[in-house]
Amino acid sequence: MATIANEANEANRARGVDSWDDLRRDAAARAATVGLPTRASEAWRYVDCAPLAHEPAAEAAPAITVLPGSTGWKSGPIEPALVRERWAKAVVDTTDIGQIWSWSQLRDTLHLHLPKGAQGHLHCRIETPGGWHGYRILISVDRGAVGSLVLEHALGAARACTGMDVDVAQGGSLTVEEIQSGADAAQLLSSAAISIDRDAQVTWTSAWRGGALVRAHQDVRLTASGASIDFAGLARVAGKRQAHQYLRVAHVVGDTRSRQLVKNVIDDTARASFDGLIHVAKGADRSDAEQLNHNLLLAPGGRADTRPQLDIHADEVKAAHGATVGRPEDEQITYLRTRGLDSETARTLVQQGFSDEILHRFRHVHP
Amino acid sequence: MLDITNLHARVGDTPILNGIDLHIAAGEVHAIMGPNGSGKSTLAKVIAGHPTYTVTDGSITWKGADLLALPPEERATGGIFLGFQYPVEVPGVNNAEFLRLAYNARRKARGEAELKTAEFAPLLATRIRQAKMDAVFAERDLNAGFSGGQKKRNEILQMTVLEPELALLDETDSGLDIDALKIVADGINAFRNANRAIILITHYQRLLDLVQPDRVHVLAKGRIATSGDRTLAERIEADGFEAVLA
Repeated sequence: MATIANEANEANRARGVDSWDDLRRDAAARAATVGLPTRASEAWRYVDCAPLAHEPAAEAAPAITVLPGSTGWKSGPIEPALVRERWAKAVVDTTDIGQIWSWSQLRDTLHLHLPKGAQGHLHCRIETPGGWHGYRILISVDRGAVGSLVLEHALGAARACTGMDVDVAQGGSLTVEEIQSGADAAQLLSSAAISIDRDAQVTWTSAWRGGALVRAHQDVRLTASGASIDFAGLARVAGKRQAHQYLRVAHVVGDTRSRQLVKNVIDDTARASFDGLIHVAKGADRSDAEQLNHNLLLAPGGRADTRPQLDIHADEVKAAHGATVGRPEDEQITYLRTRGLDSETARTLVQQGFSDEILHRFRHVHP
Repeated sequence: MLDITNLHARVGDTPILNGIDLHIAAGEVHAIMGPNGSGKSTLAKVIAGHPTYTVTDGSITWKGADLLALPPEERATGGIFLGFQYPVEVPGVNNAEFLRLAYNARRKARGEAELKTAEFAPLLATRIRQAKMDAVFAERDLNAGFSGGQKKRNEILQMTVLEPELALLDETDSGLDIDALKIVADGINAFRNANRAIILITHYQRLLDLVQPDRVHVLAKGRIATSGDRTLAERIEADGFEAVLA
């Protein structure tokens, strides 16, 4: 098992070319100014922020690992010059605490690069057994390249702040399977900025198990005609866990397509939320967008919050959104019982079916 | 085979069935017709054990036993099948796997060994061919995204796979084009034999031209108002319910 990023980053540090110190310092100053997020903040309105007050103790070394068997992708640390060029200003400007912390606590970087016209597959595991650590991952898919990625967040009693930048160039195609496992005390703040160019496509499927606080924040920009994203997410939370999806999709120009389907299965006193916004810019005519969120509440103490939103400034736009919150459908269970399945089997099938619509999209891992 | 005596049932506080008497022997096909709201679907659902309905009086005896004492799944494994007027979509549940589970539930109730996927596949493939359905439907989610006609044909497919002794078909003909109606009718006729009984709930004569009933009953206000042979259905088609019920 090669810990490519760790080794290379340590080598850079040894050579005195660790360019992160300035960024860490700037980000720490920003973090002090911005403070902890609270529910008064619009972007955190559904999140129980109390766990953030508890900083996890460091226990074991974290690691970004590229698993054996990867093909086509080039992987290594992000070049120091690129770090300065690309993020020095962003660290100062952003108000996203997840992004700020990913810099202020930066431990590791990883650049995954799929060259022009290449095909490839890669499985990346981000392990945070304990402590508080930030990561930066840059994913570059060059023109006409076709790649798939598995991103695995494995968390102990830790806080992981993972910042991702994803650039898919003209005609490129990227399929991401993102999964998360972790302890009850796990905290994960994941922030991704995804930029999709002309005739490029991204298919992104995530499966979350939640933790003390798990929140995924994604900003998707469809920057040229023919760009498309198909996003699907599933959170299955139980106990006192929480998982939150904050998703922004911007149709910057017309003739672009987006699909979002987010499902939550909530048991015990767990909570999950979906806060989604489709923004269609002025002049982005013939954009085609759909956003759906469905929540299955298995116990009376669970909580689901949902806020699908459309912000349309163009003409001839196809845009649809919707949300449901409910218990397993009695009609579905009765239908299955009239075919001879006992009520427990029927209930299990209906619940499993609710999740399977998302889980069937996974090809390389089985969350 | 099925004996219904003085059956009363309600939904919430609203009485729907107000004293149904019906006796069906093996091998018989009974058509139940009637105006909207007369209680036809309620009767089918009460026989199948739908929990929305409460039986307040009367009895249903199935092969000599008290049917009302059984939950819906035991009625199904005991040989009763309800083809829904509005088949329910169950996303994420594979049609073929669901059918195998249902088929095995019935086998288990008869003390027979359950079939594995590979053992069940040839039987399902045969039934799909007989129902003139595309094999792709087996791999789709149960009724999810099916058209109205496809859902009805899927109900008939389920019936032919599960081989019940009593099939209650609730407006299986509604929403079908003429070709699909012919296919469904062929499926029902092929299913019909001396050991099985069928209750056809319908508004229209056209299904009864293709599946000829032994008896026709007209429901009104939760009771069987009149019964007759299949010429009764022809009279209803020609003159309407009001004339027949007058």
